[in-house]
Amino acid sequence: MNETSGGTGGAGHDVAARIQTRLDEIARPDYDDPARTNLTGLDWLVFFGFLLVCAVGAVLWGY
Amino acid sequence: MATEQTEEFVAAPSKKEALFGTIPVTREERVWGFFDFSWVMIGLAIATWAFLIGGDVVYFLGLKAGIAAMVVGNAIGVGVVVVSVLGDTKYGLEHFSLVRAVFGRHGIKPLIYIVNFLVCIGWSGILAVMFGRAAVNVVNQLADTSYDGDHFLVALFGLVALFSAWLVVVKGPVALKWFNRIAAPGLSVVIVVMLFFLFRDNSWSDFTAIEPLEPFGDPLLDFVMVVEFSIAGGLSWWPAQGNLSRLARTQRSAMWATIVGLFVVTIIAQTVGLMAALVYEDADPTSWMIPLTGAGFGIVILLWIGFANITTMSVQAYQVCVAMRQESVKWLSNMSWPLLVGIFLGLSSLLLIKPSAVYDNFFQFLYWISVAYAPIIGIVLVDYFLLRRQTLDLRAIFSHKKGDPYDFWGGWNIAAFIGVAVGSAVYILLLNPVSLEQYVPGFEYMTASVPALVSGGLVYLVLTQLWVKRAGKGGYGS
Repeated sequence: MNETSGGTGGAGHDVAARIQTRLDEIARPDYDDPARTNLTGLDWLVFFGFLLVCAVGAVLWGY
Repeated sequence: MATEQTEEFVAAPSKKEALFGTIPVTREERVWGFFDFSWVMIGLAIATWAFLIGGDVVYFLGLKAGIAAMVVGNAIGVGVVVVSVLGDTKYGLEHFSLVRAVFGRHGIKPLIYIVNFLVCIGWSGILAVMFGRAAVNVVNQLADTSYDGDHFLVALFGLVALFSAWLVVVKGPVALKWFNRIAAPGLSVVIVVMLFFLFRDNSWSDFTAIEPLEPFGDPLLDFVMVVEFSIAGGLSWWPAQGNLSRLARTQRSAMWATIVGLFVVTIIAQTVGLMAALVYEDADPTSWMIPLTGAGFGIVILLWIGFANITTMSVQAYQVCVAMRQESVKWLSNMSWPLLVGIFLGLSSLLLIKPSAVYDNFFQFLYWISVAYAPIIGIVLVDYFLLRRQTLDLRAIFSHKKGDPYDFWGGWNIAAFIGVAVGSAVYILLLNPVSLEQYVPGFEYMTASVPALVSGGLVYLVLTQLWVKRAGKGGYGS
């Protein structure tokens, strides 16, 4: 396979060094990523409410 | 597709490391929005394993109670898995990198190289066997032969499936995304076709009138047995889900895409499996298709289901190989990606030596997954949400220095392992995974997985508060 890197270290790159470089980027206090936003209370309510309604509804209907 | 693959191969080393290794991904490297991630999840959901789990419900329950039990079990199993991997999405972490904050940098090694590795080899082997059996059913139909489930052709076709999965995985997550874009819609069609043929010859009341094959006779016990293996099926996706979720763009999209695929579509696929199993009084999905739809459709469906199994095997192989590339194990982190994937899938092929041995022990395999994963997931949930309030020290996760926050005791968090031991013991006391005996009462009301998850998490919480924190370990503060 034409795998020039992909974690092989074939190009002489050190994985730990790359992680440190990456950490310098993503561990900055001003690093912006939508994935860092935690779920809101409403998210949790809808999520657990959906699963609970499905489970209770299924038991009442099928058991 | 060609453009994306080209982009992948000319990507900077760090980007490729992030996609194939343990480097955290950045915002730009998150390749899956809600739509793509949903298709990945749907591709996972409509593999033959869903038909197999749904089919095996036939031993305990009829249609209505079976659907209800599968909904309850999947709501619990998938629900806790979804929540427990939100940290992977938040920080873009490879799953077991995140777990270092709980078990320590060396403590994750038994989880990766024993638990996760064996689970994934088992899954890949089972799916390869089922691919082989599906292919042999096609051969039997076309050549008018009657090869059984242990015929060498099953193993041969299983090897073809493993090799095909290798071809997909070496291309990485972009290839997985495109593979799923093809497989998942086709599988959706398969389910619709199966439903059409099932309802063409049977009414709803026909289905609900069919009795289960081998129930215990206690309705509650039969119900909870199905709930239990549905939970186990959901929990079994924990490592894969962690590694896939890190590529989602937001926590919300990761959560709901998983619910769409691993909960909603899984229930549909398992229900179709249960209906077919009730009609044909056989739990083996590969035996339904030709009698159900006729030779022409049946062969096409079997081939497509085999194709879907390759999708699932690919996802499993991707996540386990990414996990194995922890940078603290240099010879693995520096190993060629195709070679690493080849070794994993090659070991899975050992299960093809006697296909029925794997197939006939499918449920013991599922229960053993819960014995291991339920307490681990409980501990991760307690640590991430209660003890750390969803905030991790990224530098400490990758630190190898003694005395750093997640160093614990020489890289091992003993409290976490005590929690796992207690949780696993609780599971086995409530349900012996081999004999299905219950040594203490309560399984019918609690399942075994839920008490194992809760007890493991509680023991960990108490030990951390009373011992780990006071010892100044774990970076919890005072």
